[in-house]
Amino acid sequence: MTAGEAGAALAARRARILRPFLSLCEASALSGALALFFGMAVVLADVLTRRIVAWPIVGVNDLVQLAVVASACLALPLAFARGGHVAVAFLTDRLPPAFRSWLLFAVALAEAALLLLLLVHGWRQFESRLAMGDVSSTLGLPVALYWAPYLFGIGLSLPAALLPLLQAGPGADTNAEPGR
Amino acid sequence: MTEAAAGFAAVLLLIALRVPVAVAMGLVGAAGLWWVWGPASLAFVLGKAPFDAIATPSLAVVPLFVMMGVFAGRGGLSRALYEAARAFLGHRRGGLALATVGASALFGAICGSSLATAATIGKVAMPEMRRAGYPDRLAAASVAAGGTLGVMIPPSVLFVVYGLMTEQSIGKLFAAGLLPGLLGMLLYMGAVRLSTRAQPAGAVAPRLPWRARLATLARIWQTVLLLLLVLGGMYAGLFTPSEAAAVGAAGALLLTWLNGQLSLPVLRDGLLETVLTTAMIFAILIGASIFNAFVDATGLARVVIDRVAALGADPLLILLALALLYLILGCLMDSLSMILLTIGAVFPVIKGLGIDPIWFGVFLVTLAEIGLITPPVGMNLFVLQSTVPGLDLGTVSRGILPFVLADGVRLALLLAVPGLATWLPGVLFG
Repeated sequence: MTAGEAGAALAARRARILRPFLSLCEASALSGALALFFGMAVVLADVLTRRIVAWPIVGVNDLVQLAVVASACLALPLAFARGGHVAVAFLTDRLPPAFRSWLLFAVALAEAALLLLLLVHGWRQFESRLAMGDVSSTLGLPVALYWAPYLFGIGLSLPAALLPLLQAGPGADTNAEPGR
Repeated sequence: MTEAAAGFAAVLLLIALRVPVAVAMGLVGAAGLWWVWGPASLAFVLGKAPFDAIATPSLAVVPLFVMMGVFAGRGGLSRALYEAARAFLGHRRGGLALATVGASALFGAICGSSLATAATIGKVAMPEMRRAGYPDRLAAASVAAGGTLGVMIPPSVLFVVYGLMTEQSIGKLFAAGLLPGLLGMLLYMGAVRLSTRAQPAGAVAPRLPWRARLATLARIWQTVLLLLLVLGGMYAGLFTPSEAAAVGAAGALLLTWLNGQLSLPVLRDGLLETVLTTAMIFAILIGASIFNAFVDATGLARVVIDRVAALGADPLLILLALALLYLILGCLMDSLSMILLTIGAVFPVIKGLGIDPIWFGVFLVTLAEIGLITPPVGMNLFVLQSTVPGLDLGTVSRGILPFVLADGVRLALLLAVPGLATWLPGVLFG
């Protein structure tokens, strides 16, 4: 087996290993989409019942807040996995490929560092709110419902941001964005 | 002050090194807070500020308006708009480019994002203009510039974010953007005419009889209905902005279904596109919440306000300096990030100078529009490059100049005649 063939085989094996993870990120994003759909339906139902029978739905704000948090946070991992966050590449595109791949490594580590900080301190904040028995303002929904998608999204984004590290090595395309 | 300046420089450096804008703001903000306040306060801010920044019901308006734009494009509304604009303008010199700008303005009225407007209209208009022999220089520039109208003509995601960050009425901001948006459309049309004066572009379509032109208007009823429902409902006091966005998103979905375009893959892809765009915007909000906490901690805004007051500087000079700053930033980063990065420091100064925050919102979004089409980081140019095969960014950048000049004229008119932005909100809201 030549070095090229070995590299391609390794890249294919890596892609096979990563596929379930990328599917998980996509399933998470689709759950976020469903949450948004739910939020939209709640607002529409509220508009209709308020206008037609003068009977507003109680706790719309609580439910919409939940939908907003879930829709954005559950899609975060897929955005990281696809390298979909706004970044400026016009300067680094001119760098030599070897340096560029090191830079991608560093960027992935920077992303992971921030996500780790958010996860650790977010978790502590969540614990303290849980201990205080915080609930939503109208429906009294437990605060865990709101924090769960946030912490799950940030937590799953952490390995998603590190994908370039896993994808590097022989057979890897240094021009490619992770997960694309 | 020194810490804040170093912070801004560090963010720009990280962005230049390809660190995502959200991450750059978050990391520098965290490091800055640690430096200024110490680890205990940093832990508190990192635990609280990012969650609070996104867990607000009013933000529902962002994903819902994004969803409305996504499905309006997938449902075929953009093609009908382009056909109508072409029927009225296609026989003129540069007619297809004029139609592109017109269709973009109309699509902007049912889509809150400039990127979505440029991508959607680009998919319809670029092949038509290429077929008619229009050079990419003009064709792509008219799509990219027309796309910016999506964030000025209401609804607009940028106005929503600015309104939430500065606690201004989103309804007033939307109303304030309407006239400058229409003015922008006319000035872009002027830029097309200017571009084609010395160098006529492409074939000119035959003039259609009025009956045929009016027939195309009948085909845009869906857009008009959606627009009336969303904006009409909002200004008639029937809906709040969030409710209008929900009604618009549901309406766009329904129209996509009525037009026979709503298959399961289309629904899935459309929803994924919506939440991914939302995640991108919210990630920047998270990063900005940390960075703005750091800027607050440095007391930068207070220092700047005091210095401006001590200098007795003319507000016009301050605005011109800010315009210059935003024009430079607009060349280097995307518009949402640019606004979120700076608003914490700039807005208190604007308020301190007694400048109308609604007018300033329009001024800021106009500057953001310029940033969307100025290389090297013109987001609309990138979007076009990724959706139109074989498009050379250098060629488009050369064609964009007349449109940037048109934006310059609009900016000057906004400064000279503030009523362009403040008159309509005054009439509608008193």
